[in-house]
Amino acid sequence: MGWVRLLILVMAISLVWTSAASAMSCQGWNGLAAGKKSDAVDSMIRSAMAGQRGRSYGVNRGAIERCLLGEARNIEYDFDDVCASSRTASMQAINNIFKNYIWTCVN
Amino acid sequence: MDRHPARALVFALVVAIALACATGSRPSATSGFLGDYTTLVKGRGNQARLVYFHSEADFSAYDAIIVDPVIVWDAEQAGPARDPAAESERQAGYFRQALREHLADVYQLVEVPNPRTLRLRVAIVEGASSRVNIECELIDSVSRERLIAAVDQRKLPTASEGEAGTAESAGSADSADVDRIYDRWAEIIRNRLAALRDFDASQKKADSPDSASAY
Repeated sequence: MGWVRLLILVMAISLVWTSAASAMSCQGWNGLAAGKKSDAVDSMIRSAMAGQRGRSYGVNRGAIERCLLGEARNIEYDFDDVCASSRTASMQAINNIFKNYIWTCVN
Repeated sequence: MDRHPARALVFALVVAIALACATGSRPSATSGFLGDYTTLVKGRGNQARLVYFHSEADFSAYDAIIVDPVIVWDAEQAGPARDPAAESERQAGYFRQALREHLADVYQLVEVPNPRTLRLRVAIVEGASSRVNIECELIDSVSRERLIAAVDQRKLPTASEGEAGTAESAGSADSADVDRIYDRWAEIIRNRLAALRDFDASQKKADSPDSASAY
């Protein structure tokens, strides 16, 4: 029966790992030092741009990225605001704010 | 029988004022096409004049779109124009075709509602010949939940306004300018929907058990 316990343990660890990884909450954001917050926003912007496939029909990804980077400080403030009003806000709340900026920057 | 006609009159006046206020909630610069304007806010940056954006919606959940025929809307009547100018009808047809061509880059164009299908409703609002006004709404084709709504306006280039006056005069003189405005709107709508879809898809991928990256 030892292998069953081992299997359950592995499954439990992987469940905890994936939950922690996928649900970056305001606890994570609030735990970042000020300098690290801007790094995190920059990283989020570059990651979002890497996921954009619009180049094939002429979307100017460079312009969108420049716009988002220009808004980085405001994005950071908005994340601070949502995380101040709800310390348990999930990554979804942070993503929703970020999506508003994408919506604004894409033309 | 009411023994206090003055009281009844005051009551009737209060009810009338309340009804007038309730139906008067539509911003003065809007046409009534969108119905509910209470959730729209002033656009910032390059956004439309008034916008609503449902940021919690999962735009990657849709792979098809229904582009409804573009309606020529009479703001004064708050309804479809009964006798639209020929140029307005031409513009409506042109705009719908531009939307379909651009959105075909991102979505399958369909005609039947489906849980994975969006529906785009658009109206050209008849008004001053020096401006082009549109209102549009993107909804879930099945639940009819509003995902995006916008009210926007573009001024025609001054040099090509032609004789001031009717929509016909502006249309015959400036159809190329007007068409460029519709092309640009169609392009912006496509680009934004594509960007939102790609972002939501990338977040889903990041949230999948195979990924361990939160950012």
